[in-house]
Amino acid sequence: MTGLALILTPSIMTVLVTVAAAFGLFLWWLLRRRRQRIRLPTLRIMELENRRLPRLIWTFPPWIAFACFVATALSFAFFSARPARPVLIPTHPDEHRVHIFVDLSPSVASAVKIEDLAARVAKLIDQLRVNNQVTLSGSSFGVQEVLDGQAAERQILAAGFHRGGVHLGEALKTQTPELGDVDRLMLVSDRDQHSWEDLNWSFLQESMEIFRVPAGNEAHKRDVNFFFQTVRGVPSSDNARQEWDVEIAANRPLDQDREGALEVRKGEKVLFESPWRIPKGKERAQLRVGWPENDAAPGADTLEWRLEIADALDADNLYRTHSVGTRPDVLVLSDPGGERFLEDPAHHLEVTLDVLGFQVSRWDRLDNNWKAAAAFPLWIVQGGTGRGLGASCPTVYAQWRRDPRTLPEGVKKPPVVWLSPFDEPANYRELCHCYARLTAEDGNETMPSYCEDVQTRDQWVGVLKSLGARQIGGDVGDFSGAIAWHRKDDKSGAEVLAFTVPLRPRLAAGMTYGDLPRVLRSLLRWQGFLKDSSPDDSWPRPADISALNAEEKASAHDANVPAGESLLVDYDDALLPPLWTDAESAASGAAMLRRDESDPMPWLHILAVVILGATLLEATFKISRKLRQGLKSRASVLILLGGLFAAEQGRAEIVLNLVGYPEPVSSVMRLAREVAGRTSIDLAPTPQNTPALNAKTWEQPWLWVRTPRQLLDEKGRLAPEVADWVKRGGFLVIENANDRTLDKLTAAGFPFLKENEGWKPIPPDHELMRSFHLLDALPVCPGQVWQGFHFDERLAMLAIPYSLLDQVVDQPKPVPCLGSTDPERGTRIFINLLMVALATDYKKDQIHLPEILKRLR
Amino acid sequence: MTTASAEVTLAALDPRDADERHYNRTKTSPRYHGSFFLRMRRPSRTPAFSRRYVAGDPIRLIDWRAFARTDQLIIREQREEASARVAIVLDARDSMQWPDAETRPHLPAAVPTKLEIACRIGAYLSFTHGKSGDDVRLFILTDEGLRTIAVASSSAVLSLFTYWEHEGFSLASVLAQSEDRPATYNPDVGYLISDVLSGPPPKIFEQVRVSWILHLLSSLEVETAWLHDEHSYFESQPVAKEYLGSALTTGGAYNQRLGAWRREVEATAEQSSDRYLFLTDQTPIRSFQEAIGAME
Repeated sequence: MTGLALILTPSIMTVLVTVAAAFGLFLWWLLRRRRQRIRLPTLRIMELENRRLPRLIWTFPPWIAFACFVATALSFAFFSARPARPVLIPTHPDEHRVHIFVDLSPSVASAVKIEDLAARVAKLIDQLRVNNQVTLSGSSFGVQEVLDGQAAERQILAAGFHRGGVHLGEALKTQTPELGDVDRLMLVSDRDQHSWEDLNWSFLQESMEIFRVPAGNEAHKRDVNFFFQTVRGVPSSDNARQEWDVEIAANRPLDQDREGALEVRKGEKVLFESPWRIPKGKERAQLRVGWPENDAAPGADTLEWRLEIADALDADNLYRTHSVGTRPDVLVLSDPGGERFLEDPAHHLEVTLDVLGFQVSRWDRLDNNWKAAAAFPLWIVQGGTGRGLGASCPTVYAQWRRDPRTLPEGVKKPPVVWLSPFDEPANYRELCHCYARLTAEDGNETMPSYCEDVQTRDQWVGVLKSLGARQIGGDVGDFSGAIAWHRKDDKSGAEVLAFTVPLRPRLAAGMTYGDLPRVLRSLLRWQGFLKDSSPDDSWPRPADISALNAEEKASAHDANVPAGESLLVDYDDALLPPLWTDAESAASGAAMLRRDESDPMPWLHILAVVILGATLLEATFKISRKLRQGLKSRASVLILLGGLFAAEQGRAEIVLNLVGYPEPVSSVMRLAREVAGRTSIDLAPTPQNTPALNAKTWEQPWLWVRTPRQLLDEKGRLAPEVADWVKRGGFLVIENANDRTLDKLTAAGFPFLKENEGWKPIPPDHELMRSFHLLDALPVCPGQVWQGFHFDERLAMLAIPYSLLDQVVDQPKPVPCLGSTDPERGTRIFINLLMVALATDYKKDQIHLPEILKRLR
Repeated sequence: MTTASAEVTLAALDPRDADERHYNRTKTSPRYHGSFFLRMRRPSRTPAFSRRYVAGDPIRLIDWRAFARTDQLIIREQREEASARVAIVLDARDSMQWPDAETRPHLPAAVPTKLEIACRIGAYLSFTHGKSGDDVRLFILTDEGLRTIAVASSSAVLSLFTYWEHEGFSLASVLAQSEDRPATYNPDVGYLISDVLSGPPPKIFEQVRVSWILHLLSSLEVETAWLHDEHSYFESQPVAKEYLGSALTTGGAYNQRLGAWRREVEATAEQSSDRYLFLTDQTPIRSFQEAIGAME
């Protein structure tokens, strides 16, 4: 392990790379200086085995090897000299990595002052720094290398204690990427349960040493700690008062009665002051506190709650919340559907409003009580019951809206009206009429024409949209998804919110039991009727600040202390890592453990880069060499380039070269497709047919003649080109041949035929039977068999007793002597024939084929 | 015809160097009475070719001396002169082309290729036999197979030799005049001019009465003084081998092995009743002619 550490130091690595590079250069030079080699054929008979040179013969300087080597050396140099991110590694092989983590959580603050803690850590660092590389991190700051104790002291004092909590496990996990390989981890912390509960330090002990350094004097028994358990605003029965429920807790049951004072401040102004008391044996005190709303100072709405008592932890004696305004009364106008709550459309609405802290007044109808109703800032009207408008849509509202001076005395602005269907479906025509009354400019009570045809919700939505209201909810451009349409009169401040869904849980309308409070809460908050009190978003009680991002961490200095920290519950020493004492420092330094597994990934990356580079170089080199060999002259380069740009797509195909077939010759599209599908050969779909032999006939490697007569001229003589062409390698297929016509052909002056072996029947093990498909037999006409003429150890001419071509063209013709035609058999024979014509007996070495053919038969 | 001196070696052999004495001896040598019939016929006095005159026989065939002596008309019929079929096989396989263009610059002296010497000897023999009225055919043994050069007459040999000489005795020029392997040919006399390094030649002829193996090596293959350690010497046929000069020369290893191999080749030739003659480009023409003549 120590040896590995020695090798992996940067300086050793650099030396190794340099030596390897020099050695590679030497090797390259050595291989370049090979001996001049002289060929001497008499060495064939020499047998001087023990004096031979190695068989490995270098025929080319190893440029590729050299290029690979250079790439490797550069990679090594790059990766060893310039790490991607600073890595904390001891610069000296004898040094160890020691990391000190300082817990700056509130629980530690209860046991030690920050100055004492900083001094203790500074002293520790000065002790350890002698033979170790020491790094420092805290629960509120990241990993950094420290050069001396004073720097660490400054760092800790600057960071100070934070008010958020800490989980050591999470904090260490967050810092692991920066931490690197650590030989010893020292945790400066107390024994607080909240801090230690998520750290599995036994597991970490497998790869490093772990010690706990006491943060303060733990021998001192901690005093009782008091803190705010909950602080939450409550709905007030009186609009003019803010009321709060406060629960003050102690971290354990008290030995004796304790009394303290509670003070609530808003800015500089003390809103409330009261004594509190927790009796002996108890650990909680619950208070309801309140003050007149008018007392609340304008401006800042932050409330500071303080406990005036001498206890263990000062930090949690201060608690911050937002000021909560009073909630207005809400008037719900709804015709009851029945006694049971499921039938009452307003039941859930009332309950929800009540839960949200509103005082709800439920009226069945408005009638003439509009003066009293004007005092409610919010009306929620559930209409569309079909039982008439009643008096819930007062025309007086339109009057208030037009002229606020007509409002009853003491009312500053018209109430906000929420108009909602009582159910889904509702009588939207009635709802539209109500909406028209509330928003009418002229106080007209008659139903406007646009409401007369409103039957469905979609029509209701369409009317609302056309009246110029603002869409609330739903997607942009999707009007049907809107929850409500909002209309506000800027002059009078009158607002009408027309809902398209009933304000009650209804699955048909997409409003679930869970949705109703959420929707109401959002809308009430949006219209300014509701302010949140608790839990407070601005001052969370973070259980672990290491899990927060940088911005959250900055604001967490003002956070409220989490209850877990305030509890001050300690773990037993047996559950915590071994305690570090100063006396141990000298002895344990030498016996420090170290992780024995190392990460091979960087090396694998380097090798992958080298292999990839070498492959690319090899490929480039090979291709360029091939090109260089192929392109000896500038002209050939020009031809190649010209060919690349100018040439049409190259294509090789064989054409059916026919002579003497009656026009029109059928195309062989199907056959060409079969040939291309089964073999790698392209057959032209259109045959080339000429009425008689001519010069063009001899350009193709094969030739099909309709009858043997096609080979003779008018005087019955054989064209001399036939023999020449066959000798040169041509393949002649004679269709509709029989013994008589073949004899005639032979007699017609075909000396070539006489000189050689002559016509012979195609034997069953002939290459024609096995060149592609394995054929059991060739079809024969009565008394006539397939005959072949062999020349130059190949089949040069083939005489077919019928017309094979007629069988395989796109419009096949019946072959009289065969009876029924089998296109597949014909295709197979044709493909075999094609293979023989193009490649002769290329399967000659496959000696097992005749045996297979025997079995086939 | 030039007179060859003792110092002139085979490297300068010309068909026209044929020795008159050697030529005559070749012509009259009884073993050249073969199966090849000349066009020329002459009357013979031997009893086997004599008969009584029959009306209608040409008068010029009557032996008037016998008529004067015996008063009988005796016809002397023509005797047919026979000569030999001669096949000369030049080995042109790759080892015969040594020293090749890549090797030549590294050699201490400019020596002709073995193929050139073989061509010179082949032309010389063709010319000599052609002059004797024999039917001569030249065969070229290549890696691909046997090819033949038709030699119609002695003058055709001279023109062929001139062409070869002009082309530097290159393989291409030797093959340029050749054709594919001919039909079966059974010569009376066969010469094989080869270094035997590419293995013994294939069975070329069905039967041959007299067979010569002219074992031809380059003088640089026989003489090892030019080998040194600065170079390495290799041969990739039939398996790759490579040696330093010292590995070959130390203890005369090369010469010993080469001598043993030559004896093996000679013994093999003797076993199959072939006549063996070892030649290099430094062999004097005179001794070559004597060796050829002495064994006839």
